[in-house]
Amino acid sequence: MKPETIIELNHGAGGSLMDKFLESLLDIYNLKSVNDGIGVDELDDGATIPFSDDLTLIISSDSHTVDPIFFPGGNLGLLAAAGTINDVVMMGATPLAITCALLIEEGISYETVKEVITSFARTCESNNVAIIAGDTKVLPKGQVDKMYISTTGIGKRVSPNIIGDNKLEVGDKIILTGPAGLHGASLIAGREGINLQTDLKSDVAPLNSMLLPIVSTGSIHAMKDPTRGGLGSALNEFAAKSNIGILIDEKSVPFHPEVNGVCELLGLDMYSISSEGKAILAVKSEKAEEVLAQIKKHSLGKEAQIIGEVIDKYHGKVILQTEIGGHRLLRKPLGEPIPRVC
Amino acid sequence: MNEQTCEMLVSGIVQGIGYRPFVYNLAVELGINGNVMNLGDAGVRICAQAKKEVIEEFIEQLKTRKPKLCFYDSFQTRWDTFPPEFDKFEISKSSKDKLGVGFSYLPPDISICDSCLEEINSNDPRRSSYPFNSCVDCGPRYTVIESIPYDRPNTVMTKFPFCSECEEDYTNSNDRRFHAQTTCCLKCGPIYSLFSNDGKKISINDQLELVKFLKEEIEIGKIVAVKGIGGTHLACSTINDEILIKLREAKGKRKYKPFAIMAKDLDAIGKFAEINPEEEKLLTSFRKPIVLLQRNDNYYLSEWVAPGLHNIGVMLPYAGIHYMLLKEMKEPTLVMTSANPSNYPMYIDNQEIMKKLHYVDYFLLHNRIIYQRNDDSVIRINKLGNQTSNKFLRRSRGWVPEPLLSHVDIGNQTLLGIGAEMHLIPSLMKGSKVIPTQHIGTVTLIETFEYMLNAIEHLLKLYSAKIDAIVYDLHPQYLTSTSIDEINERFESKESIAFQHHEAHIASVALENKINPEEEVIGVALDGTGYGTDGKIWGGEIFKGKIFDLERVGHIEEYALPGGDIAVKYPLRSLLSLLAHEYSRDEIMEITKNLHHYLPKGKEEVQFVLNQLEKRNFAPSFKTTSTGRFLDAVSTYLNICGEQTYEGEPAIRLEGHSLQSMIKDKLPSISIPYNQINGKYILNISNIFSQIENIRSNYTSAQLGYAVQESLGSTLGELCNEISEKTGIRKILISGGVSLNSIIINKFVNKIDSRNSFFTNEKVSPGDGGISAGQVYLLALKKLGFFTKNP
Repeated sequence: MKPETIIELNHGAGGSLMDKFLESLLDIYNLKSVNDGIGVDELDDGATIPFSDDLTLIISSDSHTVDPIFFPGGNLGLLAAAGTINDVVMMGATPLAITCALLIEEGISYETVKEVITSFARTCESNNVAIIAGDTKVLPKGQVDKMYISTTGIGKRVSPNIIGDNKLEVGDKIILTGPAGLHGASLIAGREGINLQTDLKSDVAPLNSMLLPIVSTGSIHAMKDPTRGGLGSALNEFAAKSNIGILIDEKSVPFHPEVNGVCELLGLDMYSISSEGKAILAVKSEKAEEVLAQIKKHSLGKEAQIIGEVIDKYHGKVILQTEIGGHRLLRKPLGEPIPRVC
Repeated sequence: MNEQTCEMLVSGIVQGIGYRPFVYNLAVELGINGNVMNLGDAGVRICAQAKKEVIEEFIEQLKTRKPKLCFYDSFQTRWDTFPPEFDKFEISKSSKDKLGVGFSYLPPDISICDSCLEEINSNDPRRSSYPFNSCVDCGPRYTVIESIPYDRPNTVMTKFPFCSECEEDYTNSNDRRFHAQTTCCLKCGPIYSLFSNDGKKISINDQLELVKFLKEEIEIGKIVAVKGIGGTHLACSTINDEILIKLREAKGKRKYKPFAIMAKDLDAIGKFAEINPEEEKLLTSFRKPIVLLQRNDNYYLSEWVAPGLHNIGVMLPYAGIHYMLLKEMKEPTLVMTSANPSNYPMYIDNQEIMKKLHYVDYFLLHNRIIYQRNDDSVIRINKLGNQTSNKFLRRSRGWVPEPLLSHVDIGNQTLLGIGAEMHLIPSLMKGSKVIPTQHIGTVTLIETFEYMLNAIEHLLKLYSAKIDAIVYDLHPQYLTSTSIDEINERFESKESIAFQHHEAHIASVALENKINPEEEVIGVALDGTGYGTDGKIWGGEIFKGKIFDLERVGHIEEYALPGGDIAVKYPLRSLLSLLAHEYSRDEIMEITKNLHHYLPKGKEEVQFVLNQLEKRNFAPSFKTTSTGRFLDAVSTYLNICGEQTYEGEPAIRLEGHSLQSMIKDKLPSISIPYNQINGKYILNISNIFSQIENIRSNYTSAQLGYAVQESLGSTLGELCNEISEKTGIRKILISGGVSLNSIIINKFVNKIDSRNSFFTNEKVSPGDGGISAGQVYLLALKKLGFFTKNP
């Protein structure tokens, strides 16, 4: 990136512009990993610090902000706790502890802070995650928007294998644990005043109880929660980092009809809308049905589906097989879709 | 001994048209010894040995008596006096040599000639009712050639070895099949077989019996897939509503898109459409395009052929099978629509045809490979002031691979213009020639993308070229833009550059009209969508300056496109956006109250869109100056069309409806005002709605629609005159898909001051099919050092 580049929202939108931004930041760092573990430059959900064959720590760091702070299906506190837990889980680890740094805008009511932090705490506790360190700053009005939470999650790896974005293998099946885009769509609907006479809610939820039992079987090669940038971003990272092709069968991808509705009203790409309680898994082909059945037994995974597979063609790309049988490239979203129809 | 030898290197269209037989016969006639051979660059080398004056006579006659389709780009001679080495004249084995003289290219696919047709109707046991009858003058070329020189082993005909009689025809210098590469007969050539819906072969082998059987089936309402020259058609009745509706459902996304038809002859066409002399000339030419003809008062075909339109796309038969089928039909017309789902390349492989077209009753398939697809070309002849103008909606079969001649020469380089995304036709530029590929279609699927690459490769092979640089569209999300690195790599091209969409449109007009690049012009580009340099969606643009340095001096008033492409599908969204420039929320609800059903969620969605419009925080890419969207909005406003089921439909039906039921006297007076804001001319299109609201009840929708379109043309004309007045620029270049609209453009050019001249596209499409020609021309100008600014 050129020094005179002005940072715009799309530099943080999870698309290809952000990739370039991050790459240039990573160039500044020199020491990026410990004990040859996964470091910051792999841009995975978190880092690993291997101590011995039995002990690998997982560290994952995240800042959470959401507008509005209270949204259908949750609030900032739940989002911060679940998001951090999920990032640790995606690395194949059971979460142990979390840190919590708060940036608070002057003028916010104590009641708001208390409600958010209570949600945060109850979510951590009910998943056996201790809140072990924190920091609290109050800033003058306008320097932050109401309240931000920065967290670091710490976990211990329980998977026998290293689960990573670069571990997909040809033949792997891709499982999506439920309809995508509920979190993003519900927030957008709220912000845009879309009144669909229904209760579209964020899917924000910690996924450890659903996924950790499967993680320990070693059947999962890669795992990701499609947050910012949605399915499109997550699948493209798999394809790029593992240098394989991913073929997605469009008709088997579960989408919530109201997510479709919001996208259609606003002209958004369904594959770019975020989820906060879903995961995409790349699973050994012969274990796929078994894993799927296990996920479906969990209350958060009832609508899970095998949505595609890893192929030895179109390396680095994600291909959607459309309903008419043609094939379309699913790109990493680059900001908003730009009209193209003549 | 005063014999001399002369070597001649000729280029142009000299292969695939019976040139060598012509040379041979002429040489024999004049008693010249020597030889003639095809070269690997599509040129021909002739060696003649005789007395000097005889050779001079030979050269003279080669130039004057050349075959019908022959065209000389250059004719070089080299005289020698070395001792004679020939004792006869012969057609020698072709050489792979590329002697690099002049510019040679192969002819396009040529429709079956009268002599071959006569034989089909004769009793000749080898040729009677034989659909693949062809000769040196006719038959497929582009679609069957795998590489050059154009010899039988380099075509798909190599799978059909000659029978002894064909061998004799091919080697007999007095036969019109002497060295005709596609020649074959019932004994040795390809044949048609018929399969039922479940893929079972129907045991009729006699080609005429097959046709007779199908005629009966089509007449009772069956759909037949017919594999032809460059692709596969779906054929069915033109008068049976039920079957047409069924076909529309089966093809998907084809709710109202017009079907092309094929008619037996001009008489048959005259029974339902008007044909003027230019249209007749086009229809009957060897190129056999689909021509859009005005329906006449006796139109009797089903409304479902071209719903809601004033015209109908008609072509005459161009392959033997077409003639045979139409000769039998009681109703001498057939729907002939290409057999592919939207945005997917035509099916040409027999297995794929049968697998994918499960809704078809019969498959009439032949066993010759279609090496390159080639869709039917589509043309409309528009009135433009006091002249007529050929407007390509699609330039493909019958034209490809003919080049366009530019007046700049880039020497040994080869450039590729990839085009935009919809109606894609890439173009190569080599030397001073711009060569468009066949029509590829909308490139959003990988299959279509691969077809595009394959077509470019084919053209490169035919022209022995290698790409040095590639130009693409500025739109950051077109598949052709996001894949540009891959395209560069595939063709080992060294560089690539993007140009703005509408500047490329204007450049395409400059290219084909040979406008001097140093001359300043006024450029008007009107279309639906093109990515602007400010990240907004342009489509109603007025430029001035030199072609490579255009300045945007005016445009249609900017308005929001709520939902982006959703607003294209549902133009009520664009209409709401335009109305919001003039009216309050309550007024808009009242004005549009009969139109809310056009949005999937009805009134609730209207309210939602109005909320968005009130907030006004649209991303740049959801703001537009599109003419197409404005016409769509008018079409919905007048309740003519409220949903786009095929590209451009609302605007096309607005024009169609206005022309179909127009009462020409008593037009309402509507005008689009313009003013200058920050030095740019802005056409206040949203102003027309309040003008219409006041008079709406006194006029029909056709009258109002006609008046709106005329007012747009009228204002554009006045605006161009004003710019011309101020700048002294006298040439006005008009392009973009909307320039296919005859009401707007005719009014526009009629308004143009007589001291000014106007130029439009006639050789490439004014729509996005012509973008690549403009792109490659701009890149050529850059390479030649014309550019002063960095695009």
